[in-house]
Amino acid sequence: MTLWPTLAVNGIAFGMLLFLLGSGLSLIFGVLRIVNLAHGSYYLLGAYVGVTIVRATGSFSLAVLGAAGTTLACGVLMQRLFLRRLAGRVLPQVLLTMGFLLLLADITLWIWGGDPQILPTPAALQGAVVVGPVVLPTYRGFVMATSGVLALLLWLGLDRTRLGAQVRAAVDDPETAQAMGIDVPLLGTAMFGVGAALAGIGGILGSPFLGVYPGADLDVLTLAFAVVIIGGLGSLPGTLAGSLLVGLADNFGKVLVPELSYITLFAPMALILAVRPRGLFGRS
Amino acid sequence: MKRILVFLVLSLFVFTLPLHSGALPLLKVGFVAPLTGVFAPTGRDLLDGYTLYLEQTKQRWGGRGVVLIQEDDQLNPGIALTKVRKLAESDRVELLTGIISAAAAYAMRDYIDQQAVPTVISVAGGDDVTQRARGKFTVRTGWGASSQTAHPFGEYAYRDLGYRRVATIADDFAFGHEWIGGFQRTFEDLGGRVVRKLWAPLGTADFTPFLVQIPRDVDAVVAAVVGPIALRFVRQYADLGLKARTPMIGPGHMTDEINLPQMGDEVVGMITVLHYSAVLDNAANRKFVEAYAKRFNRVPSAYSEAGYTAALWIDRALQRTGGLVSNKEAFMKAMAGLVIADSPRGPVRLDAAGNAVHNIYVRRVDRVGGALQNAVIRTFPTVSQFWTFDPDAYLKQPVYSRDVPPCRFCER
Repeated sequence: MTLWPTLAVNGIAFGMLLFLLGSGLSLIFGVLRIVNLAHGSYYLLGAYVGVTIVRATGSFSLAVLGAAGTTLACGVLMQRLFLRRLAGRVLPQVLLTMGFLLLLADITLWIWGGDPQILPTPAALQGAVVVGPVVLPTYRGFVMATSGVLALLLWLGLDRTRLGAQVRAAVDDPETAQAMGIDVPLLGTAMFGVGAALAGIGGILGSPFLGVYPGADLDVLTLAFAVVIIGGLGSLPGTLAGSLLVGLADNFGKVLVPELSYITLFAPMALILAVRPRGLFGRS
Repeated sequence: MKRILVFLVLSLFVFTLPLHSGALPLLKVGFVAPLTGVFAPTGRDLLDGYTLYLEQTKQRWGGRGVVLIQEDDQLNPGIALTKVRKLAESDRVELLTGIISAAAAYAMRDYIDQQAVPTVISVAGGDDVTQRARGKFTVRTGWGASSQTAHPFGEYAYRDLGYRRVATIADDFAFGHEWIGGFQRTFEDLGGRVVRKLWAPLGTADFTPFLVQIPRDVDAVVAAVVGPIALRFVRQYADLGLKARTPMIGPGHMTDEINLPQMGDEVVGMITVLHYSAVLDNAANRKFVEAYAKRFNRVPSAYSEAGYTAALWIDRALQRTGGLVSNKEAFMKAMAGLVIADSPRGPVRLDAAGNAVHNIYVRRVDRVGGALQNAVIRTFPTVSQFWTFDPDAYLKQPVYSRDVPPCRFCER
């Protein structure tokens, strides 16, 4: 029976894409304590920019760079010009990101129109890999690997470098970190940009099998929240665990209990909220 | 010189007077459809169909000036009802049209009956809109009932494609239920077997968990996943290597002219069914496609055609009533009695329940000159929502749903 191993591998592959979408949200919350409702909009923006670059140049790697660059710039500007003015004021910040969600939805609609779009799967990555009992579309394998590498880089960067230590210090105690000579506001802006870029990369990597359309921002935002709430906002290992859990629960749930297909994505989140509201790796 | 001018102006006034005094006031037509959100492209195509016809007729229908008042229902039945109230009570429209969502059509039915506003539904496919829950002042000129294309297609799959065992996968909402139900009914009546029925929640991101449940030994997969989600659905099907193994067939919504420009090899050869294709070969359609492309720089979809034909329908009915809608019964009668021989989709008339009777076309996705199109490979002429069944007996059965007809041959 090839069903179960295939589901397991696909669950992990889908989970790794979810990690790209969730990790930025988590990172931004960890450093700046901002719940960014415009996070799905970076997926939308990254996907549209990427699709346009692929159509113009035919190069997928250029599209990934373009998507990352655009969303990075968008995140940095958003934080620098607007959110920074509201530092520490939670409700106005959330409302402002809500405003950006609507604004970016309208801007993308204005530029790219309302027609749904989907990128052709890059030629080198078409078809499926069959290993023993497992069938995995080649492209999903590629996304899984790319997200895995990015996750590793993120972890190494935050855990093993001097910059990472500064970020962690800024998360734990911004005042003391500032007093020690760490430029906390600059770090915050940088991390906001990186978080946005991760979702932008998720957008371009996701567009050959999820596509992009008006409303995708909200779909992605919901997924990102499911992942982050399970893992615990602000925790990178938590986001990884949450992503894999949601990916696997979605895959197995839809086969084992098809009657509950609607909630397989969100059931783990509801469960965690009930028993451990801080999330698996969250700190109080 | 001055005197001459005054004379000229006065005479101009006198000459134009008779035109104004006897003419009917502007006819206000309310239009409701999703113009924002995920389904905005369908609303846009629909509206463009009306716009083209309005422009071609210089905004005069049945000798009367016409103005279309647009409202966006965001595909939300509650908003749709609010917008219809606004159109009826504040704009005082004499006619309503548009309406893409079946849920919206059901939601506004009672209000429309109470207000007695003749309503020309141009899309909303829910079977019961013109069956068990029909409104008194409602006709559906556009798509017909959801299962209307599925009935002949079930027979086509059995007889022409030679399929005997199929699995189905569809959006888990009324359209998916009704379309799959209609297919299963006629397919199994002939002796075919549906051995697996899968329902995917609307907006499903990853279809893989469903696709891996399709038995290997079926002759085909019958899929009804529509709207923008169809793009990722067919892509994920092909990516899993399933396209090479098992053919997929379905309603023409999947490869409509909105989705088609975004699709590629994953749909080439796919056989679908609908009452329209942009490459339909008749004089009216060639003219329509050419004018539409010139005006909007796009290939029209069945939504565009539905808007155009609904406008044509209202115009012809107004010609019969001398531009008057005030006698509602007379206007509804005029609408019901029309036979439109020259609509882009082919000949259309209404059945006794006010639903379009028209040709149903089996189409195959072909690549012609680099672009994909829905080549028509078979025509079922003048198909009604009741197919070959007796309408009274048909209406006594429950409407198609998840478990109607039951899956007698399902294997697990």
